[in-house]
Amino acid sequence: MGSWSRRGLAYAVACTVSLICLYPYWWMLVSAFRSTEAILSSPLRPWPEDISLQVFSEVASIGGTPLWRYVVNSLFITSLATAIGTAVTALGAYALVRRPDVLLFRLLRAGFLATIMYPYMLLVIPVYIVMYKLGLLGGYPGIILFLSLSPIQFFLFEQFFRTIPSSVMEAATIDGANEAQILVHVVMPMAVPVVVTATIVSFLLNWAQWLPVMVVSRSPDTYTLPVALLNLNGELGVNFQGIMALAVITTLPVTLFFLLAQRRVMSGMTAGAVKG
Amino acid sequence: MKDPSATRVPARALTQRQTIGAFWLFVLPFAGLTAVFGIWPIILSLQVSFTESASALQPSAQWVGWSNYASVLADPIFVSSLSRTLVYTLLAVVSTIVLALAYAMLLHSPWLGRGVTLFKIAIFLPVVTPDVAGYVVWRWLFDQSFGAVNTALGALSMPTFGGLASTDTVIWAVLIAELWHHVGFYVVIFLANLALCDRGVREAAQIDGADAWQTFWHVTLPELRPALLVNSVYALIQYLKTFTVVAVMTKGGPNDSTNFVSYYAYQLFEQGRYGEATAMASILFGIVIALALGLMMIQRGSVSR
Amino acid sequence: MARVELRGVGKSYDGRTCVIQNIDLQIEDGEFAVFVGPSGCGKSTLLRMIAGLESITEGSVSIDGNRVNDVLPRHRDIAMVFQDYALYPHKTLYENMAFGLRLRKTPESEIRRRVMDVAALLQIDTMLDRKPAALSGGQRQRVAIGRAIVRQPKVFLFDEPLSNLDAQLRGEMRSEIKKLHQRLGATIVYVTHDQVEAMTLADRICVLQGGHKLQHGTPAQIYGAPATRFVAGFIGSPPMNLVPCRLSDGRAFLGSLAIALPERLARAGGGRDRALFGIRPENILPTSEDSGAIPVPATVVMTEPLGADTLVTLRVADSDVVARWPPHFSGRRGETVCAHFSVSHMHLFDAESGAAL
Repeated sequence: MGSWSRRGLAYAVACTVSLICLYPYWWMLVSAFRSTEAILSSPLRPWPEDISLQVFSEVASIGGTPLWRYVVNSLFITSLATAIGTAVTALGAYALVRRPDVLLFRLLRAGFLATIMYPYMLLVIPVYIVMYKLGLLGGYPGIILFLSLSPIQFFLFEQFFRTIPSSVMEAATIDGANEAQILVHVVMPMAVPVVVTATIVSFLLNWAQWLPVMVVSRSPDTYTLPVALLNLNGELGVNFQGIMALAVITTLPVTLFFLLAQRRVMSGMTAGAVKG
Repeated sequence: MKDPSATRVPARALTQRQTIGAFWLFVLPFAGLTAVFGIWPIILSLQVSFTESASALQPSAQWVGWSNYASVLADPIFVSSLSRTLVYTLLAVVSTIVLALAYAMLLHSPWLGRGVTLFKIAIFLPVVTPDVAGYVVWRWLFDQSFGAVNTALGALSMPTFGGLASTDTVIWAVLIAELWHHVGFYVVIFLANLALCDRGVREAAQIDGADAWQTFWHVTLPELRPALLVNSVYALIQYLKTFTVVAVMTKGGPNDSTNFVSYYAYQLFEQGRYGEATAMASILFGIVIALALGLMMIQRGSVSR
Repeated sequence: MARVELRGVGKSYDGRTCVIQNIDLQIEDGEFAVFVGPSGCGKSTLLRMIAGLESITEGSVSIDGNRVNDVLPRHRDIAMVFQDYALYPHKTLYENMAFGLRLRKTPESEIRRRVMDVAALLQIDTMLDRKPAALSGGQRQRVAIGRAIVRQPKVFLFDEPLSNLDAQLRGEMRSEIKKLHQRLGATIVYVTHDQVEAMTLADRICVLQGGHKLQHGTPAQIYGAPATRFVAGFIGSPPMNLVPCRLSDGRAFLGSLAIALPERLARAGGGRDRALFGIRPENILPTSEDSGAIPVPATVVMTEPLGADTLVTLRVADSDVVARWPPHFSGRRGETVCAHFSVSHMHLFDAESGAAL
């Protein structure tokens, strides 16, 4: 086989795989503009019969709660959980990396790893009980705090802090800085790229969270977009167009976000797993 | 002669102790979150697994020892769920790793010049897509009446795909959806690992006369072995927890054929059978820890070799 | 007064592994002290204990008469230059040097004055707005030194600052550091594994091995009167020739060759029948100009012309010794020559302990 046809075959395979990956998005987008009957009659039609934004106003209320509320919830919960998670995890990882000699720190790290290994979805069961005891059920703080625990952020920060040569921090100590000053003036400025990566990755992952939100919520008022979508999907009487429209609203923001920072996201999300 | 004024100072000098205060402060919020939403729930779940379900949430919870575990292990639904979960997990891990490796090698090969970034984006996009949204779409793509999959198959005069309706094909439908969502992650990891691979050894092999398959088998694969191992275990742990796809697409059906352990445990939770639900979760937890420890031992073994 | 005193200083981990043992040392105000020794001898650890970066298990360290065992590094009034420079990568050179002063709330005008003065002194005043990544190794090292000078500390600590530089740059920086010391008159404690640096820079050298202090003295003392065979072999290049010998009758026997020992060595040999005979390459002379030199028959094994001298490896009674001879020497392999051992530069070391006799 000549190298040109080998090239052609390679491109063909890669393109086919890519199209299979992307097709669901196209279908989702197109279906959002087509009525249920239209889809029933010709499912594969690649373009909607007519484009109108009517469906988005129809979908404006699901289960009695207005759509904009779900959007606001998603934005609010995701942003806050990301911000808190980044700050808390960065500080924690920093302390654990700087002072591995403290036994309690080592235990804390082991405890954190154990938490990650617990089947995440099933962690909501005892967390539900914990929140019940703490009286956090049904409110935003409980959801946000639970989502703040983020393994990927921890590994990103841990990995980064390990690369800072101890001599730089010793130099700062001799220059006269106390630990807080070292953190603020020396370490954090160096950590800016990692903080950005961790924030973006964490935002993308938190946006998609549904089970913790659903379990801790007492009413749809605190639901985020994925939860609303799940509910709508389960309703009797298929409002098919509505489902797809909601799916689009759920997917679009993070897709755009990802496309704007794809290299950072891809390297950030896989950072812990690449050896070398 | 030792100077009599020289005193013995404790090994951990005062200077170290003086600076530790700041670090306690830094670690406090992290420790708090981990303790409240991580460690306490795990301990609680272990504790609840030893109590009677009906009274689990009350202060007067009744201790029943191992009976929750016993009833779980004796439950035929659980047993078949566990075996189903293990089979599916194995299937998913093997197909994910093999496909991811193959695609990564394709993207890494010299035959594809430009556009590799686009392919990477295309395959990684499903990874960052909210899984609920993705699975909702796939659920309708597989629909018997107006799913795009069957319509396309029909247009090509191929037999229709049972999709989510038939117990024979539902596993495959779920697998396809999960592969769509997860493979990209591993493709990117393997691409990074391939980039780190030593080109010199491969070129030496080619000069020695090895063809593409031999080079792959004897040079590339051994070099990737640690990465393959680590990621296989990572995928194993990930797929053992399969939950969302079932919750969105099949709800465990049809006829419990996709009722995996995570989902079954959650159903019990919804029914209020807290004791059994947490017992099941603890069993799963135990399996994951065993796998993780096994991985650590293998890694340590291969380092010392 | 910026004296540094170490009394009975020791360090061990977990009560078992002992890395520093019982070091007594005084460093005078304005002295350039060098800690030298092979890798792992503890010289860096000792320096870091003076800095406060390592804890002190035993003994006491005093700076300016104040015991500093429990004092944090930033209160010890010291500055340190690291082997990898340890510059703050995100700060400009100016900021790197100003950081310490800023932390101490020094007024801005004073900061500016000091930084500009030091930058001019180190010839880096044209690049103050650059960041470390844009500089060469030598320039980075200057910034690290500048950062230390700007703080005007009582004691300067240098931890193998030139090890990461190439040979030529190392030579240049060595001279610069020496000039700086002459100009600033500061107390300097300098750690290196390079004995050339030690010899050229130090007012006094402290040779360390295995956590022990072997000898402390001026370069001349260390060179001319080494306290142990290790010091003798470590300082000086090419190293001192050390040959096992038998002692009898006030003479050292290298094989069957008898060498008359000077009186002090003959007495020091005491009742021993074995010892280690030492003589430096430049004290093995090709001619008998020096009336005190003892002629010794030898065969040429190898010559290594260096340009300014020639290193001649000679076989003397079953042992090989190296001599440093004038460049015009043209002996060939196998040729018999007469080497002259200078009597006033002979050394004897105990065969077991290695201590000088």
